[in-house]
Amino acid sequence: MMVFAQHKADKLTIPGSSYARPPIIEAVIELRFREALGAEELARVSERFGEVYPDQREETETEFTITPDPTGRPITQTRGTFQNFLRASQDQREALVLKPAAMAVVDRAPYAGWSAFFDRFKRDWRIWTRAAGPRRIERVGMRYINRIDIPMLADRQIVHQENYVTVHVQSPEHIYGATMGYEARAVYALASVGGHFLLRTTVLGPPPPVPGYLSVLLDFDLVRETEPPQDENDLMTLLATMRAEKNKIFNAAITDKARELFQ
Amino acid sequence: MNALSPTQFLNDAWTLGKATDTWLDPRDRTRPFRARDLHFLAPDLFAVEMEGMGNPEPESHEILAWAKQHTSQFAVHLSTAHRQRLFAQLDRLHDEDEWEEGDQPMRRDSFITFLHGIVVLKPTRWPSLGMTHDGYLLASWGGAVDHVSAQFRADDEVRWSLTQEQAGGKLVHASGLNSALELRRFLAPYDPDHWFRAG
Repeated sequence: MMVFAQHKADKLTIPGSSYARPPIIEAVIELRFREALGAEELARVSERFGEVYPDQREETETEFTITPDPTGRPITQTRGTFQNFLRASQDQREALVLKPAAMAVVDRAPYAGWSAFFDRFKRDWRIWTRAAGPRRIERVGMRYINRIDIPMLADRQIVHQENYVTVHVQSPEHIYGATMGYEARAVYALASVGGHFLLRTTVLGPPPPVPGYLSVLLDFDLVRETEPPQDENDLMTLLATMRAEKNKIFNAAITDKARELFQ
Repeated sequence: MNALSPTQFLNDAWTLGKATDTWLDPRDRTRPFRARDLHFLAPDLFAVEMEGMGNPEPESHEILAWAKQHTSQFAVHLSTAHRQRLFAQLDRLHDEDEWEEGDQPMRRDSFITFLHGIVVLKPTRWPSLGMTHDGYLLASWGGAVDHVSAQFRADDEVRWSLTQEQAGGKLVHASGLNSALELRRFLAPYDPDHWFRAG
């Protein structure tokens, strides 16, 4: 039977919070709101971001529900179609997603670092509140998608990922043979932020996204849904706490050998 | 029209570049080029259709945004300077002023192969970039005589052509169609680092 293996964090060295080449592919801070903005209102809000995110694209999102009928057959019902606005810097590294009931600030690789990312979120939050007016926050989310590219030796296509990540799928390899790939998902309570975090990990491919490397995805999603802060100072305090927790979670998920890859 | 040999292509392309200022000056690697300027020189490498001239396709903006986003997946393997240079080259290749009707925006599969090639070759010297009329990315390293050129196709396939100047001024020409993942192995006999490594 496969088990989700997690080594003890106390065996690990917890280094400083910054790396020369951080493995972060994408960082996201997302707020969801109780009330949705109308289409025209959302377009107007998007316009207000034109100076800081000159690139704009629109996407149509269809929301639907799937419910079983008495015989268990799924019935799909469309709830609505919404227009979202995707804004970005010219180089697409900094992005903003505006949905009728959500806003998300995105930082793509190469990650700018927490200080720059957080400052940008604060700026965008102020632009949003000025444009949209006060809205009740229903959910605060912070997501960091990391991809650890482990060099493969020229003559071998198998890498022992357990030497690099502490969270992985462990299986009886003496019977199954070497693990070629896996996918796992787990949820943990996170009292310090009044919520939980979701961890997803997988070995990408085959084929691997980066030739010559085994790529392990470590995706952390920290969420607060219960009584999320409504005051700006409380919101920023929560996000700073989430970030500190994210660092602890990440550092517990990798080994010193992996850290060497980021230096 | 008869296809030229890679030797003729490389020599003629450089001559054409000097005459029309469309080929890249190796001293100015920031200037991209369009293969429509070269197609009649090397139809085997740059098979392009010439009918129709006009504005960028609407999806040009879309493909640029996608390419920049996709490059973020390779950020760990690209220096900041190379990433910035790549984006400047892509912007220029899709510049409306440089566009002619019928030109296709860059193909996604070509760009993916290019990024794979970069990861495998690990060049510290960034290449000149160009694009065929039908959206395949081209890269060139080296100078007027001694250089290697590559066209990045779908599914990690690369068409390459090179001229190497050996001792005594003897020129060696070679070309091939290989996987980007094995490009370094196929170029190994020609001391590829003299193209790919800076200084």
